[in-house]
Amino acid sequence: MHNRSSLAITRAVIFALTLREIKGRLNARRLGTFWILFEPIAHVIGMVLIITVIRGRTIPGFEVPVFLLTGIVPFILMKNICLKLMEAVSSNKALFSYRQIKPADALVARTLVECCLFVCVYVLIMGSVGFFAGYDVSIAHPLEWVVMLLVGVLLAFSIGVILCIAGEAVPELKTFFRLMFLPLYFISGVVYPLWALPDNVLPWISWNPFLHIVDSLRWAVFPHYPFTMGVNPYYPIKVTLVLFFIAVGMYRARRLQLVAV
Amino acid sequence: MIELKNVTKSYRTNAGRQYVFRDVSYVIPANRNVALIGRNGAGKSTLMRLLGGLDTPDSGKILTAQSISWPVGLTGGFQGSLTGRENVKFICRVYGAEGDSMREKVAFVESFAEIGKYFEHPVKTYSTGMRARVAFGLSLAFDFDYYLVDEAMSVGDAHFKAKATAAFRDRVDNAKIILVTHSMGQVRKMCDYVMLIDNGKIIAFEDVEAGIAAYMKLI
Repeated sequence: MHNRSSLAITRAVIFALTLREIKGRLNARRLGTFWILFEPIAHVIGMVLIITVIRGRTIPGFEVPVFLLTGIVPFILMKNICLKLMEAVSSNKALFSYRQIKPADALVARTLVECCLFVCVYVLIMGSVGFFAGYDVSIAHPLEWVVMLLVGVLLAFSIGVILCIAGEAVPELKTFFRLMFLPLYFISGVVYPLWALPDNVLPWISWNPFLHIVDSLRWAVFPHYPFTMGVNPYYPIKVTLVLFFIAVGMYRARRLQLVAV
Repeated sequence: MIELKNVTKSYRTNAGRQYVFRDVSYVIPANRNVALIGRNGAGKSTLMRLLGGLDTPDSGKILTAQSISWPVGLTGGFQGSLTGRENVKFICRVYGAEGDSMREKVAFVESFAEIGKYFEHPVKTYSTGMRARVAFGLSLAFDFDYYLVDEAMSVGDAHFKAKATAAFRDRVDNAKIILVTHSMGQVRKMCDYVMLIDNGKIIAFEDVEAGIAAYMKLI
């Protein structure tokens, strides 16, 4: 056995776990690759059809499919990171018998996998919407968009770690956490523009950092996106920092219990 | 040499905290093949888990400069939807075997396991014996100073058992084993040092027969 530095071990483990996770997902079903890409695409297509065809809504100044896609796809990314991380420890428990593999590696690897999938899905959907349907899918402020997305990923990671540790301690909570994401979906401004809300509603839901992230992402995509009073990109950054420290602290305190079978 | 320093290990149960070891200090001498024996529930597997780093003591330390394997024949870490080869490659990556060294190890496991074309099939289609063959080969593909063996050699058919025992015999020169077992035949065959675990205490015997005799008196 040759000696490796801690960093080299962590890097090797995260790489191995990421490959394993992706291969495992692709091989889990027949046509696994197709389903992994099709699931978020089907969700988006369904939503777009309900809103544009069935309800016949328009959003003045915006193309509805692009407007929806720029919110739904990042939101699904953040939701998936949270929920997949929640199960990251329980579904990899057997692996902790190899002493190099720690719960943190599993958490990071799952986040990487979700991000890779997101990039594939986003490029595929936006590419086809732009190429076949002729919509303008360019991103007006790419740097801001990337930064906001990274904030969203880090926020989801922190929440995921907290949910995971809480869920390992009290497994009954997991069902409740899963249910929480449906209301969250509706109060994050994913399927409607914020300025369409009555004035007195926004203060009730603006505690939700996902709302600010989704709106800031849209602001970065569209060149003339209207500013909504009460939305600012610094709020989710602050929330993320606080939650990240809580997550890391909880992990430190519970790291031995997470490994225990 | 493996040194246990004031190791305390307990588990929380519904009936309160149960101590398996309380403030145990002990030095396992170097260059011995160790047998861990004791009654069911005496703490053999707990001690092995502590040595393997699967579990951490509540307090105290376990110190060694040598490499200790994961429990030989561990099959729980296999991902069912991946093939035997992919699972082997996963462990190679974790242990830092890349490129040629990975190819070499995969080839070793393939030839040791002798499961033919099933090596390219998902692990969930394997029988218990086939899993054990792959897992056993995987442990032997890496050179550890100590191999932890927890009843692993009791699975598989006669041919496989003989092969596994022989494989360990070949390694006795440069690697040692720590064997958890209830079979005194295996202890006689493979070990030259006995650690009898009883009531949270470790009693060591330089002489294998003396250790076995003490164990027989317990049960």
